[in-house]
Formats: sequence, C-alpha cells, structure tokens
Amino acid sequence: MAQELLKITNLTIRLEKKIILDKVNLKLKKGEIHALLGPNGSGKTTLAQVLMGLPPYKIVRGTIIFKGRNITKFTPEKRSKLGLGLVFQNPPAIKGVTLKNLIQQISSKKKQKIEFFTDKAIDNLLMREINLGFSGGEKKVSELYQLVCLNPELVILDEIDSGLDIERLQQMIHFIKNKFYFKQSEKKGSQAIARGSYNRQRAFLIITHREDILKYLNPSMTHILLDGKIICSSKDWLVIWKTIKKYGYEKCENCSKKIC
Amino acid sequence: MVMKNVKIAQKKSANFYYLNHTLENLYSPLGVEILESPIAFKKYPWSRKYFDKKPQEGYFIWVKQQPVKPLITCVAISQAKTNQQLQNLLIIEKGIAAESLVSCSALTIGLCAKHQAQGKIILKEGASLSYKHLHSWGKEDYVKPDYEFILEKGARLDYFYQLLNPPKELTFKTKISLLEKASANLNVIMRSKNASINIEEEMDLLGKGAQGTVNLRLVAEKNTKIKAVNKLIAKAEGKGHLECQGMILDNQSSIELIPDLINKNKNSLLTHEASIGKINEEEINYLRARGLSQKEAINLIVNGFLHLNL
Repeated sequence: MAQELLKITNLTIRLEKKIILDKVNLKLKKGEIHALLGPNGSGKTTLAQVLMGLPPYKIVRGTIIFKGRNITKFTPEKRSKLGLGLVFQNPPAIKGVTLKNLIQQISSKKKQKIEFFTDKAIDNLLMREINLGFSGGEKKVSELYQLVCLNPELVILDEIDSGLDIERLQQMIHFIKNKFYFKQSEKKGSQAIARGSYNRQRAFLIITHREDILKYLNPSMTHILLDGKIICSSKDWLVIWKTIKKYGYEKCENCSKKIC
Repeated sequence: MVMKNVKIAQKKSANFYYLNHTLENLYSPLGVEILESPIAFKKYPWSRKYFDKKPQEGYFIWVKQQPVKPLITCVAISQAKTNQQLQNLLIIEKGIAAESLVSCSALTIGLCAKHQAQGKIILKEGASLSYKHLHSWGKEDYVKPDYEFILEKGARLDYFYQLLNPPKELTFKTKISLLEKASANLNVIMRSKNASINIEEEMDLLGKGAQGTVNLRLVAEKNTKIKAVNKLIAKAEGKGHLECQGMILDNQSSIELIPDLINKNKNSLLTHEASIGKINEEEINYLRARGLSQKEAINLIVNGFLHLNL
C-alpha cells in the first residue's frame, strides 16, 4: 500500500475577518494525481498558497502533514526543501533578475540533469527578466521549468493550463504524464533500478477549469471546492465533470451523497 | 611566472597605482602620458588652469593617441588615519575613444581614513570615454570624490559608478558640462549599510544638441541616510532625463531625492522620474517558494534592482 504523502485535517483559513477555507480535509498518497475543481473564488488558489506556506492567510485551526511531518508552521523555503512545489497561477515579475539567475540559485542547491519538453522556448526565456512581459503561455513554461529544476515530490499545478495554446498544452501534458511524473532517484544507474527507486512516481494536485488536462492525466481522485469547503470527492473525474458541465456546481452543492 | 604575466600586462595597459601617499606603479604606453599631478603642474603650465590649487598628490593622464587597452587607475589606502587629498586630471584628445577603469579603496576595514579626490576630466572634440568607477571602503572611512567632466563638441561620456562597500560618510559630487552635440550617460549604483551618503550631481546642457541622462539606483539597507540632489540645467537647446529609484530595507534608513530641473531654453526638454519604495513582499515569497531563504531572496531582488544581475 502506498504511503500517505499529504494529509490535510480540518484546515480552516481566515483572511482578515473572512473564512476562506472551512474544515478542509484531503489525503494524497505517493504517486497519486488529484484534481481540485471549483468555481472562481471558491478558495482553490488559497489552498495551494496555504500548502506552500505563503502569506497573508491566517490558520484558524487544522494541520498539514507532509511526508509524516507537521509542516503547518513551516516557512515556504522549508516546505520547498522538503519536496513541495507550486506552479503559480499569477507569478510576479522580478525586474533585473533573469530566469537564468534564479535557475542558477535553485540548481546550486540540487544537482541533477534537467530534461524538458521545449529547449527552444526555455533558451529564449532564460536570458529574460523573470515574468517581465512574459505571455501567459511563457509564464507557464517558465513555472514548470523551475519546478523540474526543483525536483519536488508533490507538485501543485495552479491552473497551468490557462493561457496556453492547444499545441503547447498538449506538449506540456505529454511531458508531465510521460516524463515529469516519474521522479528520478538521486542514485543513478543499475544500483537504483535494482533497489526499485529509479522511477518513483511524483504526486500531483491539479487545479483546473479545463477538461483536457483531466482527460490526459486521469486523476485518481477529484475534489470539488465550493465556498471554501470540499463538498464532494470522487474517483471518477468524468462523472463530476459531466455533472458540473450540465448542471453547474450548484447541483453538487445540493447533492446529498457528498461522494460521486 | 607571475612576474612575467605582470610585465606582459604592463605592456598592454596604461596604469597608475597609488598607495597611501606613495606612487607604487606607473606605466605609460605609447601615446598616453601619465605623471603625478605635482610633476605635471610644473612640466605643463597649461595644465594649471585645470587644477583648483597646486596639487600635492594625484594623477595626470593625457591620452594623445588611441590606446589599445583600458587605462587603469588604482588608488588605495592601507594605513590607519591616512588623509589623501588628490588632485587628478584626465585629458582625452580629439576623436579618441578611451576606456578608464578606476578603483578607489581601503585595503582593510577600520582604518578611519580620509579620501578626498578632486578631479577634472576633459573630453576634447569628438572624444569618447567609458569611465567605470568602483569604490570600496571600510565602515570608519570618510570619502569625498568631487569630479567635473567637461565634454567638448560631439564628445561622449558613459560613466558608471558603483559603491561596493560604503564608508561611514560619502559625499559624492559630480558635475558634467556638455557643449554642442555632446552626450553623457551617468549611472550611479549604491547599496549601503550604516552610512551617511550625500550626492550632489549637476548636469549642464550648454551647447545646442547636448543630451544627458542620469540614472540613480540607491538601496538603503540598514541604518543608512541617503540624500541626493540632482540638478539638470538646460541653457541651450538639448534634452535631459533624470531617473532616480530608491529602495529602503529597514525603518532606521531614509532616502531623500531632490530633483532640480532648470530649463532656460524654450526648445529644450527636461524630464524626471523618481520613486522610493520598499521591496515587494510578493517577490520575496515567490522566491522563498522556490527554496531560497529570505536573505537570499532579498539579495537577488536587490541586485536585480541595481541591475547587477544583467
């Protein structure tokens, strides 16, 4: 049985006086792909940012356990070092700092061979100032490249599929499914294979509004977040997708089963 | 082997190395004359009009032919309580394109030294100069550079000043006079801790078609006071732009920017842009989410702000 990688228990988050996340529970095992759906403003990005330890949210109650450690009060850098990575939905621009400058800082911490799906696009971005004048698609390419360099165990993809053209989206999903999903062990060669650790699988939490990424990555669990609460979780993403497409999220809200 | 390399380097670059009050090294290649200022004052009576007073120490560099390599000037202090009072003169003859690398520094910290440098840099008609000036001091030093650049018709100056380690007190005075069609670009980069810094900068557009830009990037990191007074004066038809950006990293620091635009010619355009602010928290957090510590994140952002990464 796969080990539990992330366990969120009763997580309640406040921003000023407003409760943004309300008693959220979520469990994710090693190598699992989970999807998080919900209308705009339901708290999906807040959950992603809180998992990464980013301000300005206040934790009212609840815990976040990652790799068996209570990381609820950890700094973002400590979480990153532990193996948590976030693709930002709207990453900030940093003037005067090229993507290469940042990659050098990240790479100086972890030595590994980087395999990516578009060397050409990355070569064009490396010498540019981070996110400054980047198109929506370029931002996503840059974000994913940074995460590949960081080599995390759990990757949170906050709307990585927004702003990408269909061809680039398919390339990216193909790369995630066939390459990035498999986490290479730091130990190289036959020794690692013999130990069965060469192709350990990475876990993903995908926040999305689009069907394509779900279709290709086929999440093992899909959750619906509405007004800060997880109101439904299902092993069959297609059932959920068809329901919300036909009836909207309100149908899920009024559904008594709470699980599809 | 090392000595051999030094000899080869000397043959290529003009250099002047002055330590405390003593000339340590001097090399003048063909077409470049380098002397100590008091000697030049005696040898060339015409040079006297450029010195405000009879010099006691300093350098005189006269570039008469196109140099192959940059001119290297290095003034350093190694003894405690040294009080340098330099009078410098650099003359670039007509049509020559020169590059100058200048470093002024204290070799160790805590010397309580004084470094005062008064200099004139003359760019004759059509000459150009790329002037890179680095300062690195100890936290007990007092430093006062006062330079005047005179750009004759069609001359061009690119001046980069960077403060690597701040002294206790720095008074940074610069005056640039531009004659007809001359152009100057002044870039000042300062990142300082526990320092008091006064910048007095003036750019005068004196001839038709003169163009000047001033770009100041200032970071006050810890217990630092920076005051910058920047004058941009148009007496003839020309263009001038002043850009000052400041970043404050703690509550014990302050940055005061005083732009002073004086336009005396109806066909001139003088513009100005300024901002002083704090570091963007969102950027820090973004980098921390990438595994950088808070200190590493701030360092990367500040160096980016100062354009040191590019």
